[in-house]
Amino acid sequence: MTKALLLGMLVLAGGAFAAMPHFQLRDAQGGTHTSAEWAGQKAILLFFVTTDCPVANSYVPEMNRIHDAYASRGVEVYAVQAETTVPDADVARYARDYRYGFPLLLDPRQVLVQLSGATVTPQAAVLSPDGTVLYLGRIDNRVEDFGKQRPQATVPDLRNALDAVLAGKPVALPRTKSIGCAINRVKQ
Amino acid sequence: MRAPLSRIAHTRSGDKGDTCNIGVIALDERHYPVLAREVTAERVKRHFGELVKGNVERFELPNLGALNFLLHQALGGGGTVSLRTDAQGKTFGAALLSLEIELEDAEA
Repeated sequence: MTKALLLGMLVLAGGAFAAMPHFQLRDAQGGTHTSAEWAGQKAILLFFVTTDCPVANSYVPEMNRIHDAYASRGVEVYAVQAETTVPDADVARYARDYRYGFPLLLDPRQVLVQLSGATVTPQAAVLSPDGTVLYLGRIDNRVEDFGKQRPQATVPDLRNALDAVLAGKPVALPRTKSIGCAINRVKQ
Repeated sequence: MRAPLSRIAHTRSGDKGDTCNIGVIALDERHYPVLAREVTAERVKRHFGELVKGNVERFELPNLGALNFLLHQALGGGGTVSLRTDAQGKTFGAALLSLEIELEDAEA
């Protein structure tokens, strides 16, 4: 009876964790992160980037501003290096040179790329702590299309999505088109 | 059926002066004939419109299941003189993945 109860609890625990992605990833700054960090957060924000994407690189200051505005409000913020062929040392130097103010994760098996469905850099994904994708798309509309951009953004799509999630409301535009560099998927 | 190129291929792009280079690689080698049939130099030129001022050249690499394109006068003069954010043509590959191609049922 006790064994059966224990087995049942394990199965239930396994079921509860089924949707939760399990990962352990190093970052370019020397830290290690696990999916356990997501528990208890109000939202998870992933910025998909690649070291050689000029559009992604032009957004690093805005990514840092968004981190500064939302990290204290219960949003766990990471960047994710989506290109798997760049040596770790190059990504580390890139993170220093561009002054990322938050962890830049190395994702050699593209676990987070797969989870979010990211296809382009830069692309932002807002997830619930259980891994549900609540928003996937552009950071804002500064880069309007390929070869077309505004001096300043007029629609802060990502901030709008984060504000909705933090207010417990549905995201009005859960998917927007991202303009940037293609993410080459690795075979799983 | 119509489908975006991203369904069967991935891309990589970069620059040499004012010329953008795009590699288009079939995700599965059985799709190389589809690439060769659908992704012509003329269609690539039309897809990029005003962004590409010069001609488009296509090179076939069947042993790699890939095509290579050179898009001339495509980078606003090139990385050393252009004020574009993407003066190296890194986003051109992603842009080409939205090209709509025709797939037969057996090819989908």
